[in-house]
Amino acid sequence: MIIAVIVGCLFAGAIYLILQRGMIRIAFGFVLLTNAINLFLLSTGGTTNREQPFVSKSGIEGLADPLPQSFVLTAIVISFAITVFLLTLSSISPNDDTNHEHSVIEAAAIKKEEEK
Amino acid sequence: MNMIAALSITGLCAVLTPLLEIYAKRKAGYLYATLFIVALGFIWIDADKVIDQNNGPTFSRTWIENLDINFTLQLNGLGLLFSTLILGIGALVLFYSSQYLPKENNSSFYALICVFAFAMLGLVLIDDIIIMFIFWEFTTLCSFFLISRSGHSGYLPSLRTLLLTGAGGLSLLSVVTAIRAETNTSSITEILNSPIWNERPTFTATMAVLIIIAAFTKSAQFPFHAWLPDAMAAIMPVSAYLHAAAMVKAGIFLLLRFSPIFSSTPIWNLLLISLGLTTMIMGAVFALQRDDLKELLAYSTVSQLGFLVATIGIGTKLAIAAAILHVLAHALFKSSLFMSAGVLDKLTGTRKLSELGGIARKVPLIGATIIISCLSMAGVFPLLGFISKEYVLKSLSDSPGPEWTTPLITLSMMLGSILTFAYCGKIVASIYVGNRSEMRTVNKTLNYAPAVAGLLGLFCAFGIKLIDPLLVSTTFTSSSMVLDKNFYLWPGVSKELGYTAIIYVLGTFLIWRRTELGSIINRQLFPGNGVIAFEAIRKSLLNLGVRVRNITSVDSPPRHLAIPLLLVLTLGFILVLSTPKLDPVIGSATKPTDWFLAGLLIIPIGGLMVARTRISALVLLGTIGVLLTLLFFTLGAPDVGFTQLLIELLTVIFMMFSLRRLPKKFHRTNKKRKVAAASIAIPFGIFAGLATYAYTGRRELSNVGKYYLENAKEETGGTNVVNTILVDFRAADTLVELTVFATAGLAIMAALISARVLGAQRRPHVKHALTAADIFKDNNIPVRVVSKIIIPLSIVMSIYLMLRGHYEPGGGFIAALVTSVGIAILYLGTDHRNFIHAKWLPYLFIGCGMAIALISSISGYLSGSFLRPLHLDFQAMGFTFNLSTSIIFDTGVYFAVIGVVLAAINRLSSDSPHDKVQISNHKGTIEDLAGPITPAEASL
Repeated sequence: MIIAVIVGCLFAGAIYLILQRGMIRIAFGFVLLTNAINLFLLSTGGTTNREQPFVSKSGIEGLADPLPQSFVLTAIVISFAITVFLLTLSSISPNDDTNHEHSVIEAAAIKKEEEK
Repeated sequence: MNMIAALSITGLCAVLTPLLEIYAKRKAGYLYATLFIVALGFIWIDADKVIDQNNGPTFSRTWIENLDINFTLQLNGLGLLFSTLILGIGALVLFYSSQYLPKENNSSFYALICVFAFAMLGLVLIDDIIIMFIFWEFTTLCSFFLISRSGHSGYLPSLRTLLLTGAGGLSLLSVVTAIRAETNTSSITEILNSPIWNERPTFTATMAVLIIIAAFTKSAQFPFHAWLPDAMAAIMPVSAYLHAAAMVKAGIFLLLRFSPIFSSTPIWNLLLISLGLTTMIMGAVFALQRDDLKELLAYSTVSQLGFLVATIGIGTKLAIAAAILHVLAHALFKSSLFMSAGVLDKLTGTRKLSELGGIARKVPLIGATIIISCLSMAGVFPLLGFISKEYVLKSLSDSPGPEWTTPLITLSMMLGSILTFAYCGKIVASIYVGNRSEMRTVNKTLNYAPAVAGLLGLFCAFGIKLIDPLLVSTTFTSSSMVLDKNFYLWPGVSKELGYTAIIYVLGTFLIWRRTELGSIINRQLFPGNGVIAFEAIRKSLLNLGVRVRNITSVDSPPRHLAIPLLLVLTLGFILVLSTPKLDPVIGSATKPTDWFLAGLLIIPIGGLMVARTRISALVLLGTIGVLLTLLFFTLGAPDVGFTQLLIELLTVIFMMFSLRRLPKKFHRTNKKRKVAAASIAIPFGIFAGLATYAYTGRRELSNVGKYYLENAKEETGGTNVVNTILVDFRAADTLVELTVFATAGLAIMAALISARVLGAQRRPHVKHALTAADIFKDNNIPVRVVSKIIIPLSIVMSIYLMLRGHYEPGGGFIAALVTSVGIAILYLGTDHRNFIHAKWLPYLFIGCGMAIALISSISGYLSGSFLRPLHLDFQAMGFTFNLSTSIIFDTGVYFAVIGVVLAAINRLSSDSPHDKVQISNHKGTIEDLAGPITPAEASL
């Protein structure tokens, strides 16, 4: 049950960051979002059985569900690729601002300085 | 079997085009023409069976078993006739093209014509309604491409053709699916015999209308006629084949094929006759107006197709037979006329009738060809057009509907024929009367194809006795009735002959008085025209789209994302309010460690919200990642935990690289924005938490999970069940994941390369404090020392992890990530100005990795199917080794992942040569030596 609380907090934090200004914070938000979703996926297997899913002599009682774990593995890797792509896009320009009016103002300020 | 041979030969032509373009260039047309004739020969092998016994050969292969869709070819009379047209006239046009086309760059023409012929052939031979639709759409596409080949002038016409015929295709799709759903079969022969047509008149009527729409868009009937004259932007051979003989006949074919069902449906008769006659007269009037020969022929085609459509609408067996004969006649004379027009164009450089005066006297062969074809079009004895027109007129006496319609139909048809006669006369008169003397020379062979087509019109007329049996068989297919009337060249004296005589007289009168006629009709007859109307509709649709887009189109990512988030929130509200019933939670879902970790996690999450500097935010993010790793381990997911830890390390390292060039602090946001974001985020979090609580943990171990846990050891030999799922059971998913990962890597490289090329590294004259990463720039000496040990260790570790992946936590991904961490530490410790390795190394790794993965997947075919692992057990040194090709697959994964990481890290971490940044002192300002910013960039 507490997992649900963790998932909720992570989601709240992720969405808050995504709606912020600046690509880096949005990228951080996406990282949190993937963490949240991965935890959610893992919890779909049920959090009662927590033994590591390795085949052994003692049968399959209490072993965690292996399928969500493989989902999450795939998800982590792919979202890592997307995160790196987002970071690339953020770092292309020297200023990762996402508010357009600010950059326009900046540009106007630059122009004024040029003309001086 | 022979039909498949014919189809394959036609398909082969299409495939050969790129090759032959190199060796034979435009002369390749001769070869294609020969191959078409050979294919036709294959079809005619069984012709006698079709004609005499109505028992044509069939060929069937199951295609989609679940839906009972079979690739069934069936040769019937209609198919025989149409195949002859498609392949025969195709051969003539290809022969003609060898001489007509420019010397270079024709492979797309030949390829498209051959694909088109293939599609048309399939269309007329197939017995399955769904595959018929597929071939129909292929012809649409080929037509689009062939028209758009003509460069700038062909752009808009091709678009209009595509949209109109595509819309007709949608109509046909709805017919096909409805018929399939209602009759439960997709075989056309069964559909034609289905009892449903008699039982449900409304259904029949709806289907009739939809089929008519589809056929009308394809055959350019009113009100969908605008695209055909428009399509004259394409080159002459295209017009001669598609727009005279083949593609527009597809609509006619559709009508004929389904005529047995609908010929007694009132709305079918009504629509076909009325709209067909309207089109016939309208097209003829427009044709009479035109000066450009190609446009005249285009409108003439529209008119003649209207004639055909109206005749099919009458629906009696005589009418159908006459219509089919006219299909043959029209194909012959129209293609001949188009090709002759092309010859005249080459000779004089113009297509305008007013400028072609007298040219025919200088080129008697073409002149004679044009005369013969025009005579056939006008319906003059003794040509094929005469016979078909005669019998059409004969069939009018049995027209469906009330008594008063018969004279009306007859008069309309006569009017249309008179106008047809008139514009034929216009063509002939224009090319013979006058005195044009300048002329270029063309190769004589260019004249042969139109001459053959024209002469065939003459021969078929005299040989009508031979064609008669074919007609009977074709009529049987199209009307399920046996034709009892024979077709003769001289039909005997009758009132129809009288009508024909009236047509000749009045037509000649119009030609004689053509100047007065010209003054009446040579002006804008209608306020707009089809093209203008169509463009108006298209532009208004596009404007509608723009308006819909403007509702939610924003450039700023947060604003853009807020909209779908709000949508999800609303869904969440609805879901919560609907209070679903939940099963009880099974077992004890929470352990004490969870509480501990949860308490720890709240701190960094909260801290991230209020962090002001980028480095602190990064540290907090890393903390969350590590805590989650612990959580994953307590949840019993060791592989996931390892992967999460390694990915977290790499993410932090990459972020440090990105932060190097950015300011130290985050931008300030105002309070309103923070409140707005929080007001979306907090409810979202609550819903997510509730959803997790409600939907997880309420059932026993899933059946799939149980299956994998129980069978992993026997089926794959591995004990790490998660790993066996990834590389054995669901290896296909991993393969696709690898592809996604590799593509993302390539995208990163592309983004960075193009950013460098565009010079996007300029910085404005804003004074920043030290960038976030300068703080540690001097601190990487420990990293450099440690990396000397770490890197070899990481490589050894990664190989070990990979080999043991099947049995213990490990596997290809984890191994690759361990190596990647080593590489990243190497980068952290180096001088940023140089690439550490060759630029092509990432590509090599990614490519090899994917290739290895694919090869090991395909090798699975040796043991049954794609991606099936091969096992090998052998004894060595007292141990039993169990090898499986899944380790090769894992190796592929290993290399590809390393490649992507190399790609990203290499470019992200280096400074671009444009960025001449110098840190003058540590106290704060950075001087930019990148040069002044041009006004263009300032306005960005």
